[in-house]
Amino acid sequence: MKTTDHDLLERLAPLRELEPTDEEIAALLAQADELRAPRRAPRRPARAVALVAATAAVIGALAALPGGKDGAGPQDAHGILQAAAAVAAEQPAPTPYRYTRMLSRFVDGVRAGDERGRVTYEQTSENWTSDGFRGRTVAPRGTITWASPPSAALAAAGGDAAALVKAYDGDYRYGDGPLARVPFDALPEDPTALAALLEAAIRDGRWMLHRGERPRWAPGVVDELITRSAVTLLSMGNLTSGQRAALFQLLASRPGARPLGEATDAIGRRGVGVELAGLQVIIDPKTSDILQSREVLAPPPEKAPHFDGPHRPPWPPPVWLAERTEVFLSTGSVAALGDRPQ
Amino acid sequence: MTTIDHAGPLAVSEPGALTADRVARRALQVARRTALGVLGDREAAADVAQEVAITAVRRAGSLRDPAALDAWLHRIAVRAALREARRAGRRREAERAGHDPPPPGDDALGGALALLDGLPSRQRAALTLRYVHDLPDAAIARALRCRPGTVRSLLSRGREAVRTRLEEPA
Repeated sequence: MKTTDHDLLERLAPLRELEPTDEEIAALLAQADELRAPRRAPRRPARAVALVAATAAVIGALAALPGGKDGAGPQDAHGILQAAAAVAAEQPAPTPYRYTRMLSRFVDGVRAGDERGRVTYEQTSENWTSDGFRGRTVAPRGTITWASPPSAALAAAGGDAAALVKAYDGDYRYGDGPLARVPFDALPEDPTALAALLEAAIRDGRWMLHRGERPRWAPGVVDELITRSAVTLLSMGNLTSGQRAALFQLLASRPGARPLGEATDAIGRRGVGVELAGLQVIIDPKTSDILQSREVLAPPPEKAPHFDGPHRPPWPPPVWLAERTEVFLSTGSVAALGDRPQ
Repeated sequence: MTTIDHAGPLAVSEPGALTADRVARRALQVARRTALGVLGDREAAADVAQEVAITAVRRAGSLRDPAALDAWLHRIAVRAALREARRAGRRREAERAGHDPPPPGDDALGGALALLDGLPSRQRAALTLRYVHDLPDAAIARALRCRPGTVRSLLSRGREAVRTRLEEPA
């Protein structure tokens, strides 16, 4: 049998029948207008209202897409994040400190000879951040739980586990990542300018803990870091509503975001899930707060990758990070270090 | 709900006829059909179509020749779809398993997508541009940035793959 042009025209006809609706066109034009609007530094209620209207139109249109569920809210990642931006734009102005009570959970894979094990570290911390990633962290000693009782060899391979969950009371611990020194008031409220700033800062290392460091990033890593930085800022940063809205809009414009549908976090709260650069993020649609972020990592390959440096690490590694979850148990704005939201 | 209308290429006869509304409608139409043909994943295609249509609305004003709108839309839509196909491929490779694209579905559209399922992205793009958008070889070559001979080869291999698929027992 010969496949003729006519066969293919006929069989692919359903693709030709996809036609945008008037609602989709209206939503698209509203969104394009919003993205084209000149940057205005002060937050204006009208802008937030326009964003809400545009998002409502997008939501309506998205429900009508093939495969969408009528009345179930935005179904694609772009719509979910635009809706979160609209909610974020309406949140109250920040106070001197953002308070976050957070459960951090790490799961390590451990190997000793032919033995394999999994160990989970959990620690709850209270964090206060002000005009940058500065402030205070207080964390009582956490817990260490092996999936099954480890042999002496596995426990030894796991390393100094107790050090990972020891009690802490000191400066806010963000670490030495690309946002270590970011001044929050330098973040623009325009998503395009914000993305450009994050990219430039990550590339030149201006906010790294060690000033003057000019990191060399592997291909694709900067893109991933921009997305992850936006999620970190949304989770922990003491930001204006305009900055939070811009961060969600930035995420909405990133490639590769995938919807995860309705999702429940580790403590049973319901939200809407989006996968961003490998992070599974659950957002509270009512407040735009990040409820949880989680990533599951592939185990290291059996074959050792190529190393340029003089010190070749042991391969396969005895310990590797298999899963990381951060659950934001409680967040809010407070007036002083040590205060907790009512 | 999707309305059904066999609209052909946008006829732009007068300079200045490119209203934002017309650009948005045509861009969504072209980009959605192209992205679905190339990606086969309805959600990913909706994202790509949205991205392309917004770009089109924002940049259509810079088009000197309104009659070139369709060619330009085909070009940006097919490139965005191929870019997303590469990303999706890398994502699946990185995740190794368990994140295959969703099945095409049981409806008529699903049947059409199943026919293209598993073909290389550029073959899918060529078939979509020919049999969905009814473009000649030269226009497909411009959209895919290749020679017309390459287009003929992509179409020939694509048709062969579809023929094999159709001959397989159900």
